[in-house]
Amino acid sequence: MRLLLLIAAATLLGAAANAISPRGLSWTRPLGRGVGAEVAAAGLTPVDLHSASDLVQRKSVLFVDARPMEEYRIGRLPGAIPSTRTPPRDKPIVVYCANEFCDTALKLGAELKKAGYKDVAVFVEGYEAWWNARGAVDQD
Amino acid sequence: MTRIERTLLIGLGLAFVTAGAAKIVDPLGFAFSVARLRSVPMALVGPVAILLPWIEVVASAALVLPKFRRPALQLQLGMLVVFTVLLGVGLLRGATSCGCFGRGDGVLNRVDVALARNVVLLAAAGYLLLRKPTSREAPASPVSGTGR
Repeated sequence: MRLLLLIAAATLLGAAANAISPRGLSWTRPLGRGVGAEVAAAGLTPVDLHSASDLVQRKSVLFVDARPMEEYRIGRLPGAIPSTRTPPRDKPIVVYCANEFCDTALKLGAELKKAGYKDVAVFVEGYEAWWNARGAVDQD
Repeated sequence: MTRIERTLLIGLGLAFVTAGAAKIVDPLGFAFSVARLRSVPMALVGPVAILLPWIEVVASAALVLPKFRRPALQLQLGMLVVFTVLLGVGLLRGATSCGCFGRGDGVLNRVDVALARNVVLLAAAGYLLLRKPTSREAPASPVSGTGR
């Protein structure tokens, strides 16, 4: 009985704190709201799946894959280069990793921005969303 | 309660309250850590990130109340068992950081370190739950009238 009382007290406190906190999370999509905010807070432009598809077709940006090399070799967005290569400075860059909660794209994007790259965006939903939407991929 | 037992109790309380507070100040960071651990279904990431830190803090605070000490220890033991299983699954799936003490890849958040720490905390919580209560802590006897 006392155990349940403790759990109930914690649940009430947690729900109340989440409701009034400016940092409160969505109960159903806690990361969906957060990723865009984190990307924007880092001074980067968040790109969604629709925009990424458009950018791939127009070939106007360079995609940089921030996932491990093995995953890059298995499949990547068309024309994407691995994060181990230094991207050219004359093209806008869109960085991506596996999905909406990996942080390697965000970290790489922030590093590029710090290194002086002007136009850096992050494809937030990442390769898994691209693959699930049956987007074209390059493979080794 | 002996000095060792009191030390174990304080250690457990401090570990849980520190971990809970670190998550409360950065719920988004903790939500990411839960998701990256890939041990919890995505639908549960929100509820876990919102409620778990408060359960840790409440369970720690309740340790100072004698009437709630035992259920608080049971709650901490239960959490430690679940955490250990989830960390084990996460480790097998390649996770490196657990977010146990907030955001970051510091040594306290390393999955292997967290697993080792959990074993120690499990032993402490288990010992405190299984030990025989001293006469002062024993429930009042209706015959002798002790504990009134």
